[in-house]
Amino acid sequence: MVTVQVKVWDPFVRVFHWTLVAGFFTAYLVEPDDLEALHVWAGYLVFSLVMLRVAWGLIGSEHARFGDFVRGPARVVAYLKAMVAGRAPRYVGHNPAGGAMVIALLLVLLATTITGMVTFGAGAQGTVLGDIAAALGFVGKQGKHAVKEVHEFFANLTLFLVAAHVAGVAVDSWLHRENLVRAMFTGRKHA
Amino acid sequence: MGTSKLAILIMTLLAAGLIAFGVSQFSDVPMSGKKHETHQEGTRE
Repeated sequence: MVTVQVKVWDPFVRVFHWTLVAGFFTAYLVEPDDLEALHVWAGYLVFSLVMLRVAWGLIGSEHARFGDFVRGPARVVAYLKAMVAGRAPRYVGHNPAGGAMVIALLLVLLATTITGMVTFGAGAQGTVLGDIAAALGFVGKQGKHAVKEVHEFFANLTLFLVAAHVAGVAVDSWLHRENLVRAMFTGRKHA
Repeated sequence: MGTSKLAILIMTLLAAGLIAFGVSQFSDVPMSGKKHETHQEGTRE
């Protein structure tokens, strides 16, 4: 049987996705006290990727655009209910739950990386980030410690969302008998 | 799935801006955080 395949994920989305995975886990696993430069640069890579993905969500290809996959809470809940019942409809692009997860991940990653940069700024007076941290009231060891706590909370929340995302991908792949992980490498899905 | 040249130009400029900002802020971050703090304290003394 010949199955028709269509190009769904453009090269930017695919490179973004896997680079984000590498960047997040590098920053998460590497303690700044051990390898500060690697933690900082991996975190800044994540911030940059999120910024680029937001832009691509506005001007990118069809299935990369927010307008293609961002749906209201009612449709997300309806999709999740259908998923639990094993009757979730198939989407070529992101399904409503997947779209909500993309938005949640982008927001939480943004919160993680911004608080990370403020943490860095609190210990780097005389820099742009130092000025921003000072303007927000995060100065010195106490200020750095306070914002670092928030940074770590968001980093752990990201990890939780990643786990939920992977579980959702696994369930959806099983429900629709298609390998969504492979699709994120090849960019192609069944029509 | 085609994307316009304008979209690619915007993305390139944004990427260049992000790289420039990153280099300006983090280029002198030492590899070891603990050593950095020790060095700073030593400098202050």
